[in-house]
Amino acid sequence: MVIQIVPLRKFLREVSLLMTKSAPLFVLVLNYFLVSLYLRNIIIVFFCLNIGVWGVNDLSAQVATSTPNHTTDDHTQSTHEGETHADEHSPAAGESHGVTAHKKETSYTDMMMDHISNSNEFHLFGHTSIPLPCIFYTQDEGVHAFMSSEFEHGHKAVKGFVLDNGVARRILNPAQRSIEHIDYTEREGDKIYAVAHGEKIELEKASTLIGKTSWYDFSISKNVFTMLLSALILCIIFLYVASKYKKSSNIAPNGAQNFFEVFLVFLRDDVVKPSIGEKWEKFFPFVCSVFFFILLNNLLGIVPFFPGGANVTGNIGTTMVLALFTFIIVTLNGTKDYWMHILWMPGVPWAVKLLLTPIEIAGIFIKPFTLMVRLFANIAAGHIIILSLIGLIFIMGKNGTEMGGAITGGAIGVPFVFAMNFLELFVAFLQAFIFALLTSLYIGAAVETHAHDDHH
Amino acid sequence: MYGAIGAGLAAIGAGIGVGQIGGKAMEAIARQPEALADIRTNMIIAAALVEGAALFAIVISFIAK
Repeated sequence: MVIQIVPLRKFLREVSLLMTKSAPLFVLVLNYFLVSLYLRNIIIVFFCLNIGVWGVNDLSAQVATSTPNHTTDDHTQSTHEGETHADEHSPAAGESHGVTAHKKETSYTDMMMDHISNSNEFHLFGHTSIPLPCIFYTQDEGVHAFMSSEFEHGHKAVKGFVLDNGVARRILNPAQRSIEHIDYTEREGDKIYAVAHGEKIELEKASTLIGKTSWYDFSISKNVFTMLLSALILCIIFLYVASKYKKSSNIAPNGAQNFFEVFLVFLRDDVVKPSIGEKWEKFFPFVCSVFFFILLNNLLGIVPFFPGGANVTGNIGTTMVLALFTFIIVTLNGTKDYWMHILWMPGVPWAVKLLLTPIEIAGIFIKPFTLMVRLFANIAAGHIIILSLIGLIFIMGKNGTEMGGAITGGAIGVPFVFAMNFLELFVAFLQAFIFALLTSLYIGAAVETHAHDDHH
Repeated sequence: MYGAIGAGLAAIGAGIGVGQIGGKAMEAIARQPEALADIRTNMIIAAALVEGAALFAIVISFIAK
């Protein structure tokens, strides 16, 4: 194939001509998205970085896990690099086997799920990740605590624990827990195996709230780390804003104070006051905390590199706790009126009352349940869509073996990811707002005192 | 497989529901712009209820695989 090389200067001149001709259109399109000049530039750079880093991140992960099953002809340069890198991490394997363990090909769906789930290390790029403290409580051996760097990215078993795609799991059979070296982990249906020296070792399920395991994971995992970080960020921001108000309460706000005043006034006047009513002041701090916590974590979730990248609000555990708080506050602050309306609705015939009571009682639990699922589903679905679009590169490029396919996949995927990122930015704000609004509506329904008599 | 079909059906239902709510709210706002705040709040409550039903379907489709 002959590639025509356009002289650089001519090419640049044409591009600049085209740019000046269509500049008003560009400006119009850009202004459509954002108002401020500086903000616009920052956000464009941010999104380009976003897409780039996400792509590279996935590419490196894919290269690290892809199979060298084919003959050497098929190997790309990067696969070789990945292999040698893996070799460095497991010198024992090189000695005993001569060849590095050949990993089974992981499906892209599995990889996507790993990306949106919690993990015990903070993956940065390639084989680099930030180690996080692992704290495991086992029922037979007590507490184990160590850094996740001891796992050496899943090539080593530590005290009977194995790292499978960033998530720690325990070896099921107690007799096999003394093993130290792991070649790779593989999945067959629901079961996960670690393979060491050609021997398959079954691993226990990851520790969750539901389901019995012989151990519980209390680690500072990726999500916990991000939550602590966002709590710290929120504390710094709001203590600063609050101190500004204390110091200069009658001077016009400026800077960060001005920025957050917009949110606070909106929350107070359009969300909390109309839906809760007279007692709004008591519940305003809670609604505000929930709003800003969700908002910050949603935004951090969109950023694919270090401070972000954790899918905190797309994790059902996090949203469950948030919804549980709402449930507790609503239940504890329920007035006599509220409970009367649930248990024995006044003003309706008794036959209807019999029908209504079970529905209303179920409603007490359904309300926080939908709060939990709504936030979780919206954020997790957004991440899955972006990852699937990025996945086009690997699916069409057949895991880096077909360059043309990969480029086509990228050409299709990247514009869609760009658009999806804008949608995610909107969803981040919308979901935080909806959670805050519904929370205050539920609280409002509970604390409301009806001035009317029994006419419904 | 069946889970994916179920999720698709749930999305259709929620789409129709939320579309109706949004459309009617737009009409109402166009007719009475001064009632914007009230309409918006009620719109979101109704949309949340519709979405709740769809979310149940999606959770079940997760379980059903």
